[in-house]
Amino acid sequence: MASKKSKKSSGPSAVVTDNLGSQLNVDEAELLSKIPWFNERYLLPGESVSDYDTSLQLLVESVVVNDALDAILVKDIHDELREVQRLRVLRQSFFIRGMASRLSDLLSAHFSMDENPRVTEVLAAWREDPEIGNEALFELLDELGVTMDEIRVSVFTRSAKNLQLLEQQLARHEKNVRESLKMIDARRNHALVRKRLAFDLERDRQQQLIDNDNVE
Amino acid sequence: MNKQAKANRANAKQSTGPKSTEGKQRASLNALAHGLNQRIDHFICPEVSLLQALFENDGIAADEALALSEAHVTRARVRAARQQAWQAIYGDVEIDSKQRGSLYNAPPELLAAVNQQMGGRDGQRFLPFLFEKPLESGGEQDDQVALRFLNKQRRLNRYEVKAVSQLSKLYKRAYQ
Repeated sequence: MASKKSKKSSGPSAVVTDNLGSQLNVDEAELLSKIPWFNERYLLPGESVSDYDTSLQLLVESVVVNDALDAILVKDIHDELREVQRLRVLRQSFFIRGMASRLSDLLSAHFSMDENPRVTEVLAAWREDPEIGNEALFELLDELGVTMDEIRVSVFTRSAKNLQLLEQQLARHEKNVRESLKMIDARRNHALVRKRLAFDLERDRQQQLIDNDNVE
Repeated sequence: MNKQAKANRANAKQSTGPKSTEGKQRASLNALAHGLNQRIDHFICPEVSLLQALFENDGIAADEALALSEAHVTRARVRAARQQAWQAIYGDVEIDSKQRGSLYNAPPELLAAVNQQMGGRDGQRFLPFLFEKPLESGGEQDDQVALRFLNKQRRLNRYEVKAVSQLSKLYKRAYQ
């Protein structure tokens, strides 16, 4: 009866345990599906569910999840890594926002936007792709005697407090990832030692039996 | 402030508080910020016993298994508080509708479909674009929101440090 039911079962219904696929046995998967925070995808507006699932799946495969406790630690690591990723995006947005505001202030103070449409064009082009050096922008800055590095320094100084706090947070989450990995290692090493002990005990028992036979 | 609002406030000051049990229970949570200082209630968090069973199956003694499972639950509570802090950014910043990306606040199904169309591996590329939206308009207000958010995250650190270091110690002791 039970086997018929298990054949009909479509597996665990919880969202995260779905991603763990066949790595867990039915009992462990069912148990995990009852843990609310384990089955929660920590998403923000605009973040994609499939992106979350894909990154979790990749981590599950690379760490090789053996059981439910491994799965909990891997989910912890995954959520910490996403937190790191978000904070890095936030750090990038501080710089880009600060640079855009500083450039806009600097250029509009020296060039009239109406009379000089190239300033608007240059700023628009820079906003399109801030990573790539923009010759036209460098020419304008040369006319003012200002370098991009000076602007970067001023942006960094203005956002220093935010950046300092952000770096602290990044370090915190990266440390959490390392700690979780150590916990996984501790469990695996312990399992290996237990296996080795069981093997040694069995070998001693066999040896004892052989010795007893020889004595007889 | 209009006349009605003034009258409502004056009346509210004369209130002697909630009368019903449900109202009292609800009001008792008014001052609750994140509840991370509270002890874990096994009735509210039944997952403690589930986790304990998992650790016991792994050969860990009952008391150590209980401590480990409580530490895991504490860590999860801190994560939930951090998530709330992130979500508050979206509530704190008023976004001009013109500045919102077409996918801003899109339902998960639509995002999944877009991701699928993009080959399923480009989520990382458009995540920054979408995520920057709340803090993209620039100006002092956004800096203040960011600073408030980071301070909130910093205040949560001590709970997380406590939970993770406790967890690390327990793992070392249990699996040495």
